[in-house]
Amino acid sequence: MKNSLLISLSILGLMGCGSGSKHHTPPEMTNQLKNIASFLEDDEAQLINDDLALESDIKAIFKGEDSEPVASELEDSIQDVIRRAEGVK
Amino acid sequence: MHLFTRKTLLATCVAISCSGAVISAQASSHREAPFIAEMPKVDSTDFYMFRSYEPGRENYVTLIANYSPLQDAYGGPNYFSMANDALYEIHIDNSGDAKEDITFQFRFDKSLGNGGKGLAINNIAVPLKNIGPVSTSDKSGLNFQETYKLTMVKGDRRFGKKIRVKNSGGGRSFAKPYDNVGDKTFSTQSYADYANAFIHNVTFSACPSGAQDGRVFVGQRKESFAVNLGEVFDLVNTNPLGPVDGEQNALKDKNITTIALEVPVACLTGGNENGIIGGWTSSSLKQVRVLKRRPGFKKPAVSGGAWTQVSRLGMPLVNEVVIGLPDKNRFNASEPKKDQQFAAYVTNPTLPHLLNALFGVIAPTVENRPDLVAAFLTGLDGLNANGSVAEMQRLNTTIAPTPKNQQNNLGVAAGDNAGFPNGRRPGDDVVDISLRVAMGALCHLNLGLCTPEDAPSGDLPYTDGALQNADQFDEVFPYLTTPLPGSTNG
Repeated sequence: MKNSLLISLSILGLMGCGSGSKHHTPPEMTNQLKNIASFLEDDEAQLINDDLALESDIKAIFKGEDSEPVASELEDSIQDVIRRAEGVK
Repeated sequence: MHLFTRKTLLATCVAISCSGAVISAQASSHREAPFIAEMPKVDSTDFYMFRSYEPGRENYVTLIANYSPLQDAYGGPNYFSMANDALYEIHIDNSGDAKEDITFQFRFDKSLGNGGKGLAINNIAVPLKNIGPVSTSDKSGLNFQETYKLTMVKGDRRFGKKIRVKNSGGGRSFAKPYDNVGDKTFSTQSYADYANAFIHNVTFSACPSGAQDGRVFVGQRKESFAVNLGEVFDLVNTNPLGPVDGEQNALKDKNITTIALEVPVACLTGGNENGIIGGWTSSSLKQVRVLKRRPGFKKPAVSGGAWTQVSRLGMPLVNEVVIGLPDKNRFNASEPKKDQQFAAYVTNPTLPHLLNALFGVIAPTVENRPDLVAAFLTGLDGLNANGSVAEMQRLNTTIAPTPKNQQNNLGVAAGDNAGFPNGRRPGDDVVDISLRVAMGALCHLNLGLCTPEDAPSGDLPYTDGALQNADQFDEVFPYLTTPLPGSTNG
């Protein structure tokens, strides 16, 4: 399915299946969006201290507002969508 | 040019004199699809497009897009602001290719009172959006204000040329009125007078010379749609062949938020030969939204990525009673130029069969429903067909507007060619019209689309019983009426 995904990257719903770990700490990534998306739903929600930096990181992956939305498939995880946006899936 | 005639009116009057069956209806586009029901601020509910019938404004077209359904007037303390992370659009196709040639884009902003700092008492921020009476001359008690910018795009909605629309002072920002909180808040000035001050004169500099002036209004209005909603969804728990005003309008105590735009005819048609335009509204959100762990007032989330359409509305009722449940979200995300994917829903509609199962009325038998294709996908030949095959409203702007007191709420089917489905006016009873068309009313009008034998139950006077007509609306822009107050004992 194309062009119909609003990706809500709430930490509460990032992965779809929690591991049950209370101490999950994914490796930190340079891109804030990818970093946020790497946390599991039961992890602590991440603070956003710099809106503009995050907007820039989103744009680096998902392009600008007048570009084409990134396609997604029914079973995609948020990581899948990011990889597709980056052209590696 | 062949247009619908008084003969058609007679045929319709004959057609609606029968009785003996029941049928269904839904709200025009209120919460019509699962996904958009989760996002009321960007849920388009009704779209109107008509030659302005305000005296002296006949050379304009009025475009109205309603959003944010089922507002209870008392819905404080936050009431019903627009989404400031959304893109609201009205699209016009004047070349008959089902692609937008002109788009009007609305982007909203919001701010706290006291210059954005918020009103405070003893240096403590107040929890309310107003703490005193509000009027156009005194906003000191108002703690929440919305503004918007309007952009006209020529060509593709994303890649076309963008031109900011200016107000009469040359500025690019327009104020939106505060919602009708109640009679005490608006005790020093009537809400009607207050809201009227937010009708802005505008200049469309991208339009041809001599056709650049217009008006815009965005604000709360009384809900304009009428439907017997509760009983309809309760397995059509009503008499659809009763009086056209025999039931309650379930939306009569609701408000709505209206985007209204008045644009010169010559601007919208772009000088095309037939004077026919197509129109629809849409809303979009940015594809990515990251919720903040510590959200602030103005920006509780960070958004980015491409505008991703979440709502779409042209002809009323399409996503309610035509598109199947599995595809409703996808329809909202789609554009008219790609409507081939939904064609089967029009050529093989399920609603008449459902009604057959429920009530025994006979579904039309004509193959591929050329009557519905004409009504919903191509326009009616000789009236407003312009070569495109796509779902949108179509308006033949060469047809003069009918004065308010002469409008027939059954529109073209009753000989009033300035009404639905030649565009749509607020007073057109599109529920009754659409019900009749769905069951094959056009097959009884000798239009060459199908025959009466193809629609044995198509000549019944279906109605939801909730009356809709021009008397319910104003004669002047923005036509929709003053919203209901949240409190009346102020």
